[in-house]
Amino acid sequence: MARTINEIQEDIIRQVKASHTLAPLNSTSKTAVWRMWTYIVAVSTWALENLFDQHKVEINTLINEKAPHSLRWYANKAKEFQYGSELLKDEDYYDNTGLTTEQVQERKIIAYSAVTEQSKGLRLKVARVVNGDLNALLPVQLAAFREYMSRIKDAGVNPLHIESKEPDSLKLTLHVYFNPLVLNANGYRLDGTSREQPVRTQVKEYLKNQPFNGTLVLAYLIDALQQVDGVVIPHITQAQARYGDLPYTPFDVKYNPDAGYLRIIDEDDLQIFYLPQSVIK
Amino acid sequence: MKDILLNKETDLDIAAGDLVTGSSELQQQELLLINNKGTIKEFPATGIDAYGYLQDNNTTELLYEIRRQFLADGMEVVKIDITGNGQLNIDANYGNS
Repeated sequence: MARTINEIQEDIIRQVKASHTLAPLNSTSKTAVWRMWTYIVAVSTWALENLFDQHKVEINTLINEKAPHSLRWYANKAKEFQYGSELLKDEDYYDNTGLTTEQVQERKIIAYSAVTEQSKGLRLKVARVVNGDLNALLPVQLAAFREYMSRIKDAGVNPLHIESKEPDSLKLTLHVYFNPLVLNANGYRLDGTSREQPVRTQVKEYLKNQPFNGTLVLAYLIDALQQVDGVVIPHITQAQARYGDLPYTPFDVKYNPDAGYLRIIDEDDLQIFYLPQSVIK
Repeated sequence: MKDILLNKETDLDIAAGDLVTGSSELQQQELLLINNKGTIKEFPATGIDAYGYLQDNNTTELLYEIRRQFLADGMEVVKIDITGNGQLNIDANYGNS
């Protein structure tokens, strides 16, 4: 841990006082030259100590990620996948000579990956980014990715489920008690600064900002809705979700999206009832 | 009160291959007078920047600022004034140290 500038400077000053040759320097002025020097050295040392800290963190992540064939290794290797490149013979990486950084980035189509261990084999979920939002891989991309993973995976990891699915669908019913000085009964801002309903936007933003393969916790969603200007009480009366073609299942505390992420697919899936409520003290 | 001394060019005074140290009260006062606020990074509020007052007709503010900064730096101020021919007279010291 890096020390603070003050700690370092105090240490230097203590050493100065203890030194036989330097001890006569006793000016207490803020402009004292000897004191300025201790400050200069303290600041540089502080900067250096911080750099060391950062370096340590970087090295630790590197070591963790290089740890052969842990779950994280799979997740990182999935992100290394380049659509349209050929692996080096008998190796698990690409030869990118002749390609610009932009070209390499363009080929790395997998933006998010998550690995979970199952009683048999591994399950690998991946997603790409299209127009700023998560999306499933195209079938042709998925086929290429499957081939890539089957070439680099450890022997014996069988089965290795690779999935890239459309988002889980979320259905929410909300009762929003709103401040009638800020919002109107349809959920729009009275001052007209936004054409969207702020609550609706906030729900979508919240889902977007969830970490990949993260759990949706309704209590946290309520916390986020509470931040919306004009919302007095956000109340979730019903929450349902489904993946694939399964029927919607209600949940009341949290939901772990099967695809790794979930969205409101149809605008009607998010029903908001607005009820006026003066501010509660 | 002792510090590392500067020469007339406000550069380090070096004699016989070593830094010169010595009584530094006048040097501290001079540094306070000529430095701008923000020059001394450890204490950004320290510095009078007396040159900045050159265009001023009214000297009260300058005298007030000098007094304030000198007190803040730990001095006892006996008298600060500007004589008729424009000379700045300062009588202030750092007490016993």
